[in-house]
Amino acid sequence: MDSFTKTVVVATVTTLLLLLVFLPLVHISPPPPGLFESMALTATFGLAAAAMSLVPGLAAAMALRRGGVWAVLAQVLYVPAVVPPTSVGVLLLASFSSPRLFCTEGVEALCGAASFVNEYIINRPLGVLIAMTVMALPVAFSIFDGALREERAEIFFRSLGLSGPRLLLTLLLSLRTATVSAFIFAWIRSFSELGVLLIFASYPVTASIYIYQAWLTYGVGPTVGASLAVVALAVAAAYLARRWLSS
Amino acid sequence: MALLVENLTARRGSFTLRVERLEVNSVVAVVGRNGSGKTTLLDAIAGVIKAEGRVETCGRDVSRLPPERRRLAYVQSLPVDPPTRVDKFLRALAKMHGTEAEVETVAERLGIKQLLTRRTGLSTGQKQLVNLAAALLTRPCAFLMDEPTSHLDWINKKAFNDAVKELNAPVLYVTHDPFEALYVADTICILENGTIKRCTKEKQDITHAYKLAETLLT
Repeated sequence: MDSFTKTVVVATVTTLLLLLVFLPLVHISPPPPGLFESMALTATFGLAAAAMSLVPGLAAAMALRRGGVWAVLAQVLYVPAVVPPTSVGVLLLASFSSPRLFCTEGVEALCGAASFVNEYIINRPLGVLIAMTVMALPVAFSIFDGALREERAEIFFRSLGLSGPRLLLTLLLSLRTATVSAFIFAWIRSFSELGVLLIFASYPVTASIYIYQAWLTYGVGPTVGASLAVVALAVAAAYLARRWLSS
Repeated sequence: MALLVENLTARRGSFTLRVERLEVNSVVAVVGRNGSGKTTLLDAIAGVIKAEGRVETCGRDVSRLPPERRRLAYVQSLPVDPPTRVDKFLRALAKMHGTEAEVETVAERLGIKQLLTRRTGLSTGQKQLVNLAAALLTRPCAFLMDEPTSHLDWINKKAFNDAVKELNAPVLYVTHDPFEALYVADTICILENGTIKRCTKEKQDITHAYKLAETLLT
């Protein structure tokens, strides 16, 4: 590494540390109640969402390698990553609100679905899980896409006669480095999600919603500690994952 | 006939591969430079990419079947990590293909018995032998091998190629190394610009050169 590269690295890291750690510390004050609960909730739902994103993410990455229509279809998994999260939130809300719309217009069969959505999905734990899973899908997809580009594992296992769920499971285990990366980074992603949750599932209160609401109510100071906690958790998880994966 | 390819045409971007006829009943090496169409040939035969023409394995037309039903075991240049502990992986695969009784024999034949209880930490050469064992346990009509030794050091390369020679099975072996082709194959075909220019059974015995190289490195 030459001296110019070193200078660029040091300048970037120093700036980021100043902006994201040291300068905010000047404002720090005790956080309002609920920080621990929101973090625990996010961690739990994030784990479930990350696990749920693995199989569809891998399947889509395999479809992408196939090319043609399958590749175009697979690209849909990138949508949550490239459009504003608030748009994803609005679209999810609109989709899950449609049974209510048809119910009020006389389609009785959808009234049950409408009440289920109201009772169990929008602003409910299941809604949080759906929102986090939707946002975790592009993470898993892109990591598996990278892994399958490097290795032609799918072709090998298919030639051994494996197909369907057995092929997917074998690939998940064989590409374990990618699988673990996808799982951890999808989990970390759940802490950073705000836009979708704010619109579609703001209750129960997850870490990002907690920070947003605390900032609206109490200002910057009480939210600095919570924000730094999320930063520390995400950085630690990413660091441990990288160390473990490269060992 | 273990593997017969007739009038095969496959395209990859602007590149077109055309093979009139290729028979594989022993170890057939296809030698060609980078970009000559070696991997495209194997992918087309394996059913990984679309191709026109006829592919026959064990006397059955498999041209329209997906790779998992062609009975062609495709060993890649970069070996694949076994999904679980080596013995569990091989046993699960053997169970699928009714070859459970052969796991120990295959492991012994390929010299990987000591790897059976391993899950991680396999070297590239060891992984490639495990891949070959897995392929053997599926009792394929033929093996497709795409530069299977390109990531191996010379000693592992020789060990792998010795294993291939002792398989006594039809193998379509793709390599860019003519010496390797001479060592491992009974028939050598030259691939240029997507066409097989010629095949020959006349080969030089270079076993002594391999033995000489081995003595230098061990």
